Amino acid sequence: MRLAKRRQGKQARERGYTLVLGVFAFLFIIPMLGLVVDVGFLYGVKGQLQASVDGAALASARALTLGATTSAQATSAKQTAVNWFYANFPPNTWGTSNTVMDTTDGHVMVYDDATNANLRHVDVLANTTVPTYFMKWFGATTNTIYAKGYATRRDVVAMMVLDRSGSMGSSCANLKTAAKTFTGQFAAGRDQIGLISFSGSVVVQAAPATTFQTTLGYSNTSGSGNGAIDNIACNGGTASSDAISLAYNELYKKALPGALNIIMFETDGQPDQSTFNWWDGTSFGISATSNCTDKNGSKASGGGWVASTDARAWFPGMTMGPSGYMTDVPSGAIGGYYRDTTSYYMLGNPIGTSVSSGNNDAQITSSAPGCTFQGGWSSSIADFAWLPATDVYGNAVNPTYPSGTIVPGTASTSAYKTVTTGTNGRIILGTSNDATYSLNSTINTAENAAYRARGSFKSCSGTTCISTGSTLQAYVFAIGLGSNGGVDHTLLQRIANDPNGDVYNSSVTGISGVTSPNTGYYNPCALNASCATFSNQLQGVYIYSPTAAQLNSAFLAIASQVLRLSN
Amino acid sequence: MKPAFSKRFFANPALSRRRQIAQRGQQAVEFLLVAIVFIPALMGMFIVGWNMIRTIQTKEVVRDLDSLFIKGTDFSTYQAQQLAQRLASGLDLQFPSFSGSIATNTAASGSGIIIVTQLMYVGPTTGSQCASVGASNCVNHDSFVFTKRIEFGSSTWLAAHPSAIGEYTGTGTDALSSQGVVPSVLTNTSAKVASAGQALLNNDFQSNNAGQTDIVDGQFIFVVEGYFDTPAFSLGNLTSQGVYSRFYF
Repeated sequence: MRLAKRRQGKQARERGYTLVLGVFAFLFIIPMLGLVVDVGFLYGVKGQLQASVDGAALASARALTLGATTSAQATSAKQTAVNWFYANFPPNTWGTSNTVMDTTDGHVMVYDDATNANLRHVDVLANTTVPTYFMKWFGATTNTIYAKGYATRRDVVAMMVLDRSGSMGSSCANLKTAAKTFTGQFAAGRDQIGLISFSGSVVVQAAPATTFQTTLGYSNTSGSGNGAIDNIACNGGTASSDAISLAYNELYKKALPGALNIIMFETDGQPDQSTFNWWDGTSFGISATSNCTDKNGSKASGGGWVASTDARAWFPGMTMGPSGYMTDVPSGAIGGYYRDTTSYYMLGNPIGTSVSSGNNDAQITSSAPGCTFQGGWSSSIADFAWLPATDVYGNAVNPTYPSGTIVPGTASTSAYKTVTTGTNGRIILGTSNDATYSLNSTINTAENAAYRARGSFKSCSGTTCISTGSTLQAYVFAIGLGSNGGVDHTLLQRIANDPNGDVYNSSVTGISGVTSPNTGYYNPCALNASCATFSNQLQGVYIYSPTAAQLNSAFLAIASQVLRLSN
Repeated sequence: MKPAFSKRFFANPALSRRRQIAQRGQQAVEFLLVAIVFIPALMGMFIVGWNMIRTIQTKEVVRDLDSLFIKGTDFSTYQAQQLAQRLASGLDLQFPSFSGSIATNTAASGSGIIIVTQLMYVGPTTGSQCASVGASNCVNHDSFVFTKRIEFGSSTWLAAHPSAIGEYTGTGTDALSSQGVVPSVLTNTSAKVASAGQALLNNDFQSNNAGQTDIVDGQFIFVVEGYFDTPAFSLGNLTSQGVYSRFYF
């Protein structure tokens, strides 16, 4: 009875408890709800603000190319930071107020790196006030949040290597316009750009310099100017390996590993010329039947051409410049070896001086008495017994590459083009393969020159690999121009170390060798047994421009790629 | 003081039972009163919280993808799209596998779409961009143009939530390359962003908000947009619409 009474009393006292407890619970739940909403809101705004300063910093670093002076570039960068920030975070975003982000140093700072002179930093700081919706009932009406974004830009040191061979003739004007658009994209006063143009001879028109817009010419939104680019006239052959090697030599002399080192190579055809020294350290490649006389007046058949000191200086020595990757090439049995579809020619000094004369190939030697190429081109190679294992710049005529670095993995580690080499890696002449091997050797040396410019630590000839000691790694970008019919896509993919197929041209069908579902003019390397790229090297980009009118877009696309890499 | 309950009440079991019967349902009514407020509040908190999480996740994913894009990541490759998938872990980003490069890689499955765009502003006909093709040929002057467009994820979501900037519509020789590159951006009318997208970009970049100045001829904008579904809970106006984020880098 007592127990029943107690229970009934308890029940009576519990009347309304649920309601009361519910009301009390609200006193805790509402603040918790508020905490969830307000803190979540703060995180949301913080995310938006952080992304906005990140975007502003990266866009700002990209804008460090706008302006003729470094101070003008800093001003452009600061304004760009503001432009991008408010594009991502307009006033009153998410109900925020008092957003502060402007061009003052407190919010955008552009400054040089303390240890790397070729690196600039951009820091962006913004803050905004975020309202609270629930927590304001407890006195916290607003919160101020901050976000900071960072970006860097490496200065670019680039060598433009432009083909001015005769086949470029009608495209020459487009080439010059595109090249000036390219230079217009970079930061005057900070970046350094030089120029090599090549046909049968290579002319170093300008070493990389911060004054490139003045010396080379440019075109951009700030204006335009004329320079060395405008002087180019298109005539002659295609000495690609010489041009790439000399371009790398110019970068090496600058010795700025903290910068972004670039070779920008443009051509419309296959390489067809290399420069050889027919004294390869062991003997001369002068044939026994040649009438060439050495400096003592003796033919090979008469006991001449034995020691290195016997060499006649067909051309003056080749100056590589102090502290170059390649040492100066002394005068001797050295010259450009050109092979076209039917003939062989011994040319002159492959390093030229003129880019505007009618025939831009180097002067034909008049210092080769008895030789078929004395004073004029020769359609015979009877003077030579073999081609050396490397050209004068060290590029192998029949290179092999370290296994395990080739992409795709099934690609051969051997040279792109087939040649057969004998003793000391030489290509023996006087066979039915002379024409093929001669041409292939010039293609292989061009590909090997790019391989070495990317900082290969080994140069391989035959089965022997040697350390080059190179420490400067350069990106190699390539543009192939169509219309003239001679561009070799696979070679340019290999030169740029770009495994992609044609990703810049669309919906082209019926191109021989292009495998579905790919479009464009050529397949990715994975579908091309002749193609090989190297996983342990810097990857550049190859762009094919089917017509001269598209050259400008191709140069702009490369500039955009370079600028993205520099950020 | 009068006792709260009479002795008769406790002494009489029949009366107590009647009282218990009368009280039966009282707790249910009280619970109902509380639940009317509690349950919507909890559901609302859940929905708002879930959407907030999804929004923050989406922003982070889009920001990260834009950072990768601007540094040269090629999202036309499956490897790069898989990287995006890993970054969007939990957001159900799905797409078919492939080799090589594809500009548009979508399928019906999945709950999200990523749209990667590179834009360029083409200045007046007197600018250097137009000068490169000749002023009379430069049909896209004074406009934002597509230079690259890549899409991957759910085709359903792409159809329901197309890009705020607009779609690239070029076909034939003006079609996107396999890497999403737009050909002939100065002379190809398809490259010009459509009017709604132009209005959006003009508002964001050319309206001089808070110290902004107009961007100039040849400047690039790297944009990533992301739409992701949220669980299909609905409570009045709190019906889930998915979350969207867009960043300009």
